[in-house]
Amino acid sequence: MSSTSQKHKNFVAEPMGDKPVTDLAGVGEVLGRRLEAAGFDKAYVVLGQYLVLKKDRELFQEWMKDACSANAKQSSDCYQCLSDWCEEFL
Amino acid sequence: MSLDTLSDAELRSKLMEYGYPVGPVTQTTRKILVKKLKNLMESRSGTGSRHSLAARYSSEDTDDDTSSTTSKKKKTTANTRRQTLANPMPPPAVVSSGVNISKNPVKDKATPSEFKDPAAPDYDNSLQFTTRTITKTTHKKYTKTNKISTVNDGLETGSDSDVVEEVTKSYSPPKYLSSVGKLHEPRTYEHNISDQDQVSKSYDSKSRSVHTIKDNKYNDSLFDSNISPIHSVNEDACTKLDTNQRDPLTNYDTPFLSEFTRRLSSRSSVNLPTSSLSSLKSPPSRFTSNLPDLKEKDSNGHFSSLRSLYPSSSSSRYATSFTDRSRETMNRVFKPSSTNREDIRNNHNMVSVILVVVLALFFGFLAIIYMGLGGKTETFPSLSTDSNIPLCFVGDDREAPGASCVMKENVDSVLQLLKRLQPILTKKAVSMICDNSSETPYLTDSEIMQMFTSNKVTSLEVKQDLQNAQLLVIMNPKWGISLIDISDGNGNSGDVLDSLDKLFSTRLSGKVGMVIMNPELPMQCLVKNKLFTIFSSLLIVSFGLLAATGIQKLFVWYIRYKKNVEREVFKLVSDIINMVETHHQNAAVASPGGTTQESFLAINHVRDNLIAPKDRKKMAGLWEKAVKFLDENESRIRREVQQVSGEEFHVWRWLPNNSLNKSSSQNFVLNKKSKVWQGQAFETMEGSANSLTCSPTPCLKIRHMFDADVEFEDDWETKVQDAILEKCGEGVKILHIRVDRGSREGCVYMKCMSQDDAGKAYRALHGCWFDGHLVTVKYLRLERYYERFPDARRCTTPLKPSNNQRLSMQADY
Repeated sequence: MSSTSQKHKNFVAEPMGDKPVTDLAGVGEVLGRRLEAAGFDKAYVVLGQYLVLKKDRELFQEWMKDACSANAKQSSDCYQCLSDWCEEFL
Repeated sequence: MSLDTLSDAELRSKLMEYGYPVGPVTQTTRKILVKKLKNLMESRSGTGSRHSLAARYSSEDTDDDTSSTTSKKKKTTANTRRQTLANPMPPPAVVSSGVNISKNPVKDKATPSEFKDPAAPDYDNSLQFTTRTITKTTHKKYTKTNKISTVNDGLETGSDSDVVEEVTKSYSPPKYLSSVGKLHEPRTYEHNISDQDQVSKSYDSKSRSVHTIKDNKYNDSLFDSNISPIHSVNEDACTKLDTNQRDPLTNYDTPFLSEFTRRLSSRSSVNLPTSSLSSLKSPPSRFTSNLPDLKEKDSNGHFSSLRSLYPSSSSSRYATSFTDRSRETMNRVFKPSSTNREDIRNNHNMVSVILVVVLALFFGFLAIIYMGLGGKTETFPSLSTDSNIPLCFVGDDREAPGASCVMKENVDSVLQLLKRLQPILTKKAVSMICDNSSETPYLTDSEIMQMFTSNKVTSLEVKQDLQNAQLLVIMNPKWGISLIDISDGNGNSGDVLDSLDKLFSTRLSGKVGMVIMNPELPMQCLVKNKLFTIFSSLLIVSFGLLAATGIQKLFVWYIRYKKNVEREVFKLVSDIINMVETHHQNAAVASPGGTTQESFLAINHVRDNLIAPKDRKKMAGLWEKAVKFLDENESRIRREVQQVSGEEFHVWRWLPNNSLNKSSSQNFVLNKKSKVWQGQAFETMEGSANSLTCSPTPCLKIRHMFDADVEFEDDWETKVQDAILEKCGEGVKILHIRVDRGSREGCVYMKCMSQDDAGKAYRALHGCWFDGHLVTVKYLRLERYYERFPDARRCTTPLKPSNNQRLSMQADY
């Protein structure tokens, strides 16, 4: 929490617009490919999922694990990224 | 599996049942929610964990107990061994319960309330204990009393009495042992629960049911034919084998006993005592008298009282050893901790004391060394032994007595003289150094002669002795006495005479003085001198520092003064320019024809306009500087001489400038009016869509307060802060404001005293125009705010604007 990655900072710094899903913190090439295969090709789609799960950390991380077999660190990063973004822009 | 076939709505309602905040069930979320539901169901069904936990705990306890009992068993006598053979069941039970009791005070010291009321369980155990010890002394027929004891022992009585009965019949079949072991477990379990004060009704019933089930099984499997169901057996046992021990049970009935035991005890209390044991006849009154002890104290008191009850029983050895051991363990548990604490405290004290002592020793050592150094040279009085005394020999005529050698018969008197001289000289020298007395530190020949000439000693003799003494003094420089030439009047700087030739030459002129150059100074004087030097050096240093700081202050002041003057001059200059320009514009408006006749201003006139009469003298220098600056650096103003009202004046003329110049000047004017609030863009009063009904946090982020690329003034940050503070007004307590200089959006972060204040500030600021920007405000989480501005934690006083002119609120909108 205290130190966030550059990717996180970049994502949280501005509106997400049309950014691809790989711009999310914690989502790299591999996870990005898996997510795209599951239909989550843009960051805002993941955001939608995040919102539909009512911003619940547990459920979201579970979903990440399910959808693209992300590990705890990746899903936690992604969750943090989205929640920070929402705090800033939503 | 049935969960997977639920419809979305069903799934949702199911989750709601579990109190889980569910979102929409969609294709993507369904899987997750189903999983969650499963988890919830599992966790809900697994709430009996406490039960199992208790069971585990009790089993651990019994493990401990059995281990302790095994160690104890070795000490028991052959009697007990036989007894255990005859009835393998009770001894471990008894001992284990006893150990339980002795352990509990240690374990549950934090909750002594437990120990105040469970008199009955304790009492039970004591009964058990006593009866058991008695059985040791008696024979087999006292298995009945054994039965009594076990009947008294709460819930487990049923099984035990059964067991005993069976024992009397069949004398412990091997099979029986294993089943007994099994039975033993639930009993201790129940016991532990009651000990730990966790008993609830449900627990009681549960454990009882378990117990009875076990019993039934046991009955069925082993003694199916001749034994009626457990209850009847128990009742039989009760009615048959009852003693007066039963009575107290009813007296000290507590919730810890199960219903079953209560019934048992109530039944038994009806019956008359039939016991033939003398020691068991202890009347209930004794128990009651001992019970206060029990309540007051822990197991120690408990067991000691027990011991006093049965002092004569042959098995008292066991009891005493047992109590002793328990007491021992108690002591072992409690004493070490207290002593440890004391030790620790002592250690703390010791360390500080040792430190002080060491310091004192160190300084004492230093002082001793110093004193030792000071009192080293006291060699003078022991003159004759190790001194260099040139004696004259009679036969040797090269040497003249008094010139280069001393006659032997004179030596004593010479030394006498020197000895008497020395303290006088020392005193003189000391007084010279310490008291700054004006008298000379030396003694001349004539003075010495005057001093020592009396009616016994003639001056001639004295003179001779003195000359000899001087000779010796020269020969023995280590005595510390010097001879000096005082011919120049002030003896201090006289030459030291270190050879005989010099001595003789100066003696002729009568200018020989004796002096002690480096006398041994007294402590007081030394300290005084040292202090004096220290203080004087301190004084010098402090003077130096003072001078340095003074110079530095002066320098700073000068710099500031210069800056001040400069600013004043610039202010004056800009005022002048403004004035001249407006005058020019007015003139242009008044006569559009472009007559330049009136477009100048007399310098004196400008000065008189700008500077109030009382300040004119004071500001004359400034004015001169401003005028000079204008002459040198301002191209738009020309200085010329014009006739005004028939008199010639120096005037300033505003040179007509092109349009570019004009617009820039207007910009300048506009800029001067920047940093003001320019009105509300949309409504943010309470209830409107743009404001939350209650503010979630006390922290706000305000955007578009400034444009960092354009800000050029030195104090624009302060101005922005002031603008916010002024706009929010007095009623809002703002603790911390930080302008984010680097932000592209002109962000300002602020923290208010409370969330209400934040709400007010939000409504005051959100949707306002400021300096041409539309300000928007958002709430920030407090943690994030602290993360960003850790120093905001310490801010507790509300901020005030830097001035009370309310500059930002003066826009004319």
